[in-house]
Amino acid sequence: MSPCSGDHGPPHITVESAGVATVQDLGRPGHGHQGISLNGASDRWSAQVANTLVGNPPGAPLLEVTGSSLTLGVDADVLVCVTGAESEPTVAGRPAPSWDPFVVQARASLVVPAPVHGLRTYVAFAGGLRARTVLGSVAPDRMLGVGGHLGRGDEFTLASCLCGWRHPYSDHPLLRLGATRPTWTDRTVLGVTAGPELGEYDEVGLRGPWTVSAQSDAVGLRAEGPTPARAGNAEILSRGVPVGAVEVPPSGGLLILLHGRLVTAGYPVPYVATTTALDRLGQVRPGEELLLREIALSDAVTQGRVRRQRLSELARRTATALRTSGLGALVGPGHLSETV
Amino acid sequence: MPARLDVRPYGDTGLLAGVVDDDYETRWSTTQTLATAVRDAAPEWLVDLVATYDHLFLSFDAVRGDHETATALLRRLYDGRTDGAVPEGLTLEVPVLFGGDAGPDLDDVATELDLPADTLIERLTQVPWRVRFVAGPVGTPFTERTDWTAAVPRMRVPRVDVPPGSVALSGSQSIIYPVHSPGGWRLVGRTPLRLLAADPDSEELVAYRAGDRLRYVAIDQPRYDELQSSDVRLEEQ
Repeated sequence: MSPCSGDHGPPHITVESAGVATVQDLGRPGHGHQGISLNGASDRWSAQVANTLVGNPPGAPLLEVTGSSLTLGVDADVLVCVTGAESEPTVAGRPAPSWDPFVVQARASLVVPAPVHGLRTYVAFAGGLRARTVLGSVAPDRMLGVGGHLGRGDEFTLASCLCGWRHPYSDHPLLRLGATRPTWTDRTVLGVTAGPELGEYDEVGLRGPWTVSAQSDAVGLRAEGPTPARAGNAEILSRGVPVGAVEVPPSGGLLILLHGRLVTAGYPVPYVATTTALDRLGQVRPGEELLLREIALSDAVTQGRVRRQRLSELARRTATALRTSGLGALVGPGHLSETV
Repeated sequence: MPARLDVRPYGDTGLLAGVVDDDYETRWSTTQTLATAVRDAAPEWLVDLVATYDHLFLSFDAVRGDHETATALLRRLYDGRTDGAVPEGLTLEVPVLFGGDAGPDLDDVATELDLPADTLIERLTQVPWRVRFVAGPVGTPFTERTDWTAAVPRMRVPRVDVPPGSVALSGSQSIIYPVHSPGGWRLVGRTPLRLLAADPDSEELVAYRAGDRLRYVAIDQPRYDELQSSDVRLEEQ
C-alpha cells in the first residue's frame, strides 16, 4: 500500500522523550459482561479526526499525550496528523500544522509541546502504529495488564511511508482539509441527559459551577463544589453504568465516569454526559470550571449523528485530496470515506 | 407489587432496565435470563450488556440502533419470558488459605459476628457461593449465599491495594479479587489459583459465569505455596 520505493524495511518511529504518553485506540467494547472496562482514547473525536486525516480507519492505534510534551524521531518520510489539545508542533524545528496532515521527513524530529489549551494531544500516523493487541485493542488497561506509558527509546513500526513522494507545489507538503478546531474557554458547559436518580436532587444545585479536581484520571473525573443532598436514601445495588455517568458519591462533589470506568457501580446517577460532552471532558484540566446543562435525549442523539456525518464528510475530502496528491494508496481499508 | 420491567434511557447510547418483582431470587433470575435472551437474539446494534442483581444495562452502536429499537426488543423478550430459572451451571472448587496475612480481616469479622474464627471458616466453606454476575475489576465473580444471614460490614476506609486472589466478604456476598486493585470488602483469605486466562484472546477470560457456584475449600500454607508455584488456573477440575 505504500508509495515508498526505498529499499529500507518497515519505517519506525522512536520515542526521543515523552511526558505522559500512551498508545490508544477506541478500547474494548463488548466485554462488559466479563467486567472488562472500555478504555481507549479520552477525546475520541480528536482521535478519530487525526486518524481520518491520514487515511486510517477512525479507531486505528495512535498516540495520546496528556498534559506534557512528546518528541519522536522517524527513519522514513511519514504522514502525520496532530489533533486534540492546542499545541504548536514542530518538525525539525519548523512549525507544523495541527488538525491537518503533514509530512515528517526521515531523520527529522517531531516535537509536540505541552498544550497551551486543553489536556490531551493525539498523534496519528498513516497506516497506524503496530502495537500488541489484547481482545482486539491496544488500549492500556492496568487491570488486564496491557500497555503502559511510553518511554525514551520505545520504538514502533509503521505500516507505510512516503519515501520518494514529493508534493507538486511545495517542498513543505501539506494538505488543508478544513477540520473544525475546538475553541477553548475557562468554563466548560457540559451537555448531560437525565439519569435514573435525577428526581432525587435539586437540579439547580447540580448545575455547578464545579471545579475539576487534580484527583482525576481516565477512570473518573472528580469535580468539587457545594453538593446538593439526595432526597431519599434507598440503597442502590450494583448495576451496569455507562461511560459518562455523573455520580454523586457520599463524600460530596461529582465523579464523572470516563472510559476506564468499572462496568458496575452503586452510587446515585442524576445525569449522564453526552457522547459529545465526554470528548470535551477528555480536555478539561484540574482547576477549570464545569457547568452541567441538561439537554433533551433526542438533541443528544442528534448531536452524535451530526458529528458522525461531519467525520464522514471530512473522510471523503481527505480521500479526494490524498488521491489528487498521488497518495491514494494511503486511504486504507476502514477509512470512513468508504462508508455510504 | 405487580412484576414489571422499567426501561429508561441511560445516556445517549444506553438503556437501563430494572426488573421489578416482590421476590429477590425472581428479580435476579429474570434479569439473568433476559440478558441471555438478548445475547441469543444477537441484535446487530448491541455493544455491551451488563446484567447484575436486578438491573440490565445495555449500550448500542448509534449507527445501527437507537433507544426505541433496543427498548422494543427488551419489552418483547420480557413479555415473552417463561419463568425459567438460571441454569444450575458448574461448581468450581476454590482452595483458600484463610486468616493470617492471606486474610487479614478474618479475626475481626469473626469477632463482629460473635463467632470463633474456626467456626467462621467452617461456615464459609460449608455451602457453595452462587455467582450472581461477573463485573469489574476485570473478571471479578460477585457471589452470594441466600442462607448467609450475618451481614458483614465493609471497611470504613477502603484499601488502596488488595492482592490478587483475595477472598472478601460484604453483606451476604463474597468476591475474589482477580488482580491488584483498590477495594473495601473484608479480606478473609486468599486463593493461590489464577482467575484470569493467561491469553484472553485464545480462551475465555474466566471459567465461571452467572449461575455457577464457587465452593471455598480451606488449605494450609504448604498447599498454598505448592499451588501458587505451579500457576494453576481456577477452572472445573
